[in-house]
Amino acid sequence: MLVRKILLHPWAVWSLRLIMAGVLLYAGVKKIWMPLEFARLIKEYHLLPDQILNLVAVVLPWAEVVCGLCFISGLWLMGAAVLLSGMNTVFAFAIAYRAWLIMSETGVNFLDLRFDCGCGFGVVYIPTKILENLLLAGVGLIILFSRWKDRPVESVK
Amino acid sequence: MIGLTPFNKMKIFKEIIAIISISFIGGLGFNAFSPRGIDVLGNPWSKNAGVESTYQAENGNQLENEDPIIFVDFNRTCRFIDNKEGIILDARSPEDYAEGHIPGAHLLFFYNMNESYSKHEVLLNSVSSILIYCGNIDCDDSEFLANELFNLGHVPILVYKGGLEDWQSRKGCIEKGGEEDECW
Repeated sequence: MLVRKILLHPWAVWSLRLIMAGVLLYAGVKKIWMPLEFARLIKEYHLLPDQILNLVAVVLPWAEVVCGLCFISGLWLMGAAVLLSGMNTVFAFAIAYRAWLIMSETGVNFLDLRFDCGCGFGVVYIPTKILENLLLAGVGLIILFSRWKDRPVESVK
Repeated sequence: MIGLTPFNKMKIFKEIIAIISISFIGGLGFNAFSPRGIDVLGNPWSKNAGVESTYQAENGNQLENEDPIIFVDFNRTCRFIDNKEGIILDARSPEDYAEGHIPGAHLLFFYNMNESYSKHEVLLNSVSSILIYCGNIDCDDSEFLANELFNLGHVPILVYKGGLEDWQSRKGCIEKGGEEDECW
């Protein structure tokens, strides 16, 4: 299929890896530098117990940075791609949940909703942010699949 | 079509473990030595700690933090009002605002920022400082609004973190429908 060929073309995969690395490194470093702010933002989701909020706020940005470095270097690429897809899917659902909480509390329309989701880019428009996260999860799967293709045939039973 | 083989599964699993391990080591190590490090094992979000453990809320001065947004307590808020230092903004919803607010506070609903801001833009540009509050210590809308206003060039900004709940518990005046009641 043509789309599959284009998406899995080495240059396309390289471009996606570099874009992903840029996004992850920017967002990760920003959060590493402001752990308290990030912890506050995570708290707003009401999804994690208070006792582990700070630990998550300290470790999660590093996971982003390490994944970003993996995308650049090619080291542990499949693991980074799975983590990226998993994290972005969870983030998308978490943002949707928080959006639902805000909508039910304030009556604001979903299409007018803007808040700081803690993604490292300040206050953002939520409908596009959710789509963006799902898209990033998809990019992770493309990178993963591009590596699957490279696996030696003898490993396939 | 190439499937997910046991070889791939194990490799991916090992890579994920490696990435998570490095993230833990890097995160905890950096946090231990960073001047902005936070208490990882404690519960800084309890009512008596929270931002007050990081910011010197008692007198409104900031500690080591370079954040231009200053967290203040009830007494500092009273001084702000008594000395007419600037404008007070209520970051809660219009419904909550209508049920009662700090006397003189203007409604600037964070989740309707564009419309609310344009209403107050001239006023905000004419005052020397801004004090923002929302519902209670668990509510972060006042901080979000403070960040937004800071990005729009408004400083200094004070955030009354205790919010209306703290204000009422200390018998602060409440204005409702243009009339004040329940004062000190």
